[in-house]
Amino acid sequence: MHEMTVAAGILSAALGASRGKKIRTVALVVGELAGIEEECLGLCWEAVSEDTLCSDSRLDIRYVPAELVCRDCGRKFPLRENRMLLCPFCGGEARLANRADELYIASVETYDKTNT
Amino acid sequence: MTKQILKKDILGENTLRAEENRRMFADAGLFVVNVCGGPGAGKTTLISSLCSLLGPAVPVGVVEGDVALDIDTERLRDAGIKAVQINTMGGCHLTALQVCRGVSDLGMENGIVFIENIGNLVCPASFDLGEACRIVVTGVPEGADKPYKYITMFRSAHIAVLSKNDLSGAFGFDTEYFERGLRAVMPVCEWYKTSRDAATAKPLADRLLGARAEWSAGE
Repeated sequence: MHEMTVAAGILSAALGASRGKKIRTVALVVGELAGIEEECLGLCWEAVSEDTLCSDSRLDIRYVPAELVCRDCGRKFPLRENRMLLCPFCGGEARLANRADELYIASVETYDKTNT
Repeated sequence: MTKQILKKDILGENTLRAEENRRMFADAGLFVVNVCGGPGAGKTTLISSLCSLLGPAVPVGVVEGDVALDIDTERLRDAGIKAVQINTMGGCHLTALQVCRGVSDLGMENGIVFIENIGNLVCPASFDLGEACRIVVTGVPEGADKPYKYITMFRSAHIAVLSKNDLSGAFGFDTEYFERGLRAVMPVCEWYKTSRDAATAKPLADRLLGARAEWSAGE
């Protein structure tokens, strides 16, 4: 729901790293539990990056899935499709195994020529 | 083409401000509690109850976050509770910067400040305000599935509160299912039941006094 804030944060960081060159790709790492909806973020990105060095750039999102671990048998499995938070192998109670709340810019890729 | 590795936190500006808040609150001796929950969960009622229980022992104040209006602030002031209002004008969460201003406006030292976040179980989870303690409130009428649906929020909280417990029978609330969800997502499962009667919040008020004492000792 706050994808616009996130898009503005990406813009500020990407422009800071641009050194006056046009940005081609911004690589993001986004956890499943970071509360970010990709399509919405894409639309916000188009809006905030317009007429900047980031216009027409691509957001390359690496998605980090959330995992559960069974308290009984210790096996791990994805949260997705296990929303009842129970182990699909033994039916035991599960708990979250990772944070999956990553939300950061991994890298930016610029064109070599100074922006024209 | 040139690739630069950045590894930069997108909400980093808020996180930095939250760390500044934490230092500011520590210097002022303010134990700050961020109260989150959906609209109508009973956040204001809980805060009001806690203030009436804690008020005699320790100075208390409230920073009220709302999308618009100051209904809750008036309600608290009518009950004799010191409160300031922040309106986000549509914003879905409070930010550390807004809270810095709000807490400064309270002009308090050595006490407990409750921040009532915007009624929303999604966005406030991702914004550190520099608080020492985060409470998530959900009410019996909202249903027992909330920890399953709003994992990020419940995971980020130190304490969960189930409000409106006097309605539990009428709503057929499945406490066992609710608690299992809390156990799965909260790092340490700690939760309290409250109702409209302020006395039901006494165990939580005592817990906050204990947490404040621990926090003071650690600072």
